[in-house]
Amino acid sequence: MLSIKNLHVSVKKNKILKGLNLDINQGELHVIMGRNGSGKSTLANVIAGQDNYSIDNGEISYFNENLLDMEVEERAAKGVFMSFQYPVEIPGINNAYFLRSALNSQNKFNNKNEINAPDFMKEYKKNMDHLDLDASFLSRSLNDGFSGGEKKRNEMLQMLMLKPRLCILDETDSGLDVDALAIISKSIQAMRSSKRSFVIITHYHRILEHLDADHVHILSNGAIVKTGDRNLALEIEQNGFKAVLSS
Amino acid sequence: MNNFNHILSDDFEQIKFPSHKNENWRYVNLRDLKKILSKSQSTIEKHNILKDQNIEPDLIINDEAIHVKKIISNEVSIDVISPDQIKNVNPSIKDKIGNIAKIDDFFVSDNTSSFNKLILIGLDGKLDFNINIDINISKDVNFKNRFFIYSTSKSSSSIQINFHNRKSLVNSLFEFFIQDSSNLKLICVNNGKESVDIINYWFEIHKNANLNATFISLGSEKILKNDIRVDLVGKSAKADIGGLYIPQLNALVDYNLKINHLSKKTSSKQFFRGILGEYSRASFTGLVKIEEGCSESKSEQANNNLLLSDKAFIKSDPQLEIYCDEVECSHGSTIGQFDDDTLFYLCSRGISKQHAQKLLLEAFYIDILNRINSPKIKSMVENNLV
Repeated sequence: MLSIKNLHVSVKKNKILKGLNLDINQGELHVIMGRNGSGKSTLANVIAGQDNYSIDNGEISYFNENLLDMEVEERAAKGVFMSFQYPVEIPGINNAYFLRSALNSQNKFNNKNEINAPDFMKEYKKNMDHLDLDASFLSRSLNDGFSGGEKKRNEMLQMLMLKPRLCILDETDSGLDVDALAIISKSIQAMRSSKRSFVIITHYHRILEHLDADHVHILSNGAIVKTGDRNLALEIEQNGFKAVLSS
Repeated sequence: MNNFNHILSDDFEQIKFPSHKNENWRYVNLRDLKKILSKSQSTIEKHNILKDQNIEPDLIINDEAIHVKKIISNEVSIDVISPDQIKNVNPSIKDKIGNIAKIDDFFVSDNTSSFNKLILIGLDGKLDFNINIDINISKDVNFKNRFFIYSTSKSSSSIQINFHNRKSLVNSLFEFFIQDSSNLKLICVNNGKESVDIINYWFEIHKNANLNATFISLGSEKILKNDIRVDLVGKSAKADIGGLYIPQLNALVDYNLKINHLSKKTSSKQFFRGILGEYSRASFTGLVKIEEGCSESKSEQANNNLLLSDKAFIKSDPQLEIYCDEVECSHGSTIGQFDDDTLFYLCSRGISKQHAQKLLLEAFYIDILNRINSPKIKSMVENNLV
């Protein structure tokens, strides 16, 4: 599905990613861990298409197409979704209206029919219940005045509605209480399928208690330096990055 | 020159043409304005007054005539009178005519000394419809519009005034006398082309009365100047004033507001947003002045601007003068462009950049349009932003 080869990325001449390689097959769940500043969010943003970064070398292919040639919205329409670490607040744009616009934009790109308002609302309410979101989410502006936890759950609501094929979750578990973490993990688990893949960027082992990870990677100094199974995450939690990387 | 004593005193002197030393005129090209003024010496001398039941809207002022609907309702009166007929108006109203507007500016004094017709509108009872006025002067003339609009005690009414002037210089002056416990909703839409529109609005708001006014400027006027003066003279008088300006091409829009709190428990809101593209220019100056003895008064002021072009220009100047304790006041202004992170967020969900910008623009102006709930004006705004 996604193949990243020798990716070098910089921001204002600061080299962030330095030869990163990663292959993700359909249906897999990958976890990326790493110290602050190791390049995890840069990787997520580059895949989603944020243009603040300079791609100095390397390639990213997505279903055998060059992802780096695609506009941001084209990537989204082809199934790339990033859950933002810090979702932006946009007063004046209704949450439901925005999501329906997004869904219909993707449908249009993929030559599918637009979803009508009643069908959309039925699905929207079902997913709101799933995420334990109250009815005010129907009328509130996009992330405007949301608490940190509400913003993360709203990202999950968008993921459930848009049904992407590659879901990149950038520290979605940060700042969540135990109950919210369980709800979000349940949504991820419910969305897992043989055709959908996940990249979960996290600092903590605790989200993995709810999820079956296929691979856990350590990103350090701009490259993936170690790969293992879920035990690697536990090892990091118990001993820290320094000890794990020197072992 | 008009010679009716209660407007023009014996020692009346025409105020001189403004200079850039006057803060109120700093951003207007006065050389151009003077040229236009000297070229447009002729005015519409004989304006026919035609009363007709089958006109839409209720009052139209154009090159040929002033068209007035014969009967709008029992609660609404529209009279078109010449300056020498003002003496016959009901004394309680007559004494206010010409006394709400202070002669503090060249165009106010020019209008006062030489208008030909006064349009007197009386609003009574509780009206559940809009009174619509169209002002549409397209001749190359210097025309003076003069209105006196009063709402009687406990009445409730709404007026929409549309300006569609073309290539003319129109100096309009409106006096509003909003009496105790009455509510007036006012919508003013500027949609001129190559015109010079100098409009002075003067409001006197009495005890427990409410003004809700919204100004929408969408045209490509050479100069559009909306000067808005509000005196909150009665206890608990309220003025809620909003506006949206989206000048086209190289138009100049200049808003100048002065709100005077002159009594206790008065409240005012100013909420203006501007979207500037191409070579358009705008200036917003909003002064709130709370006089001594006006305790428990409240005032909010916000002016936000979005620049869509490197060539566009905006100057925003919110001002606050407080001479009294125990008041609540806030003011602020912003000038910005589309935020890249916000655009990226929207696009990352599959929305094109163009559509994302449209959504952000709508989010920016929708609060102002929600004040007036007019699909027609919403569609005009959308067309302006295509």
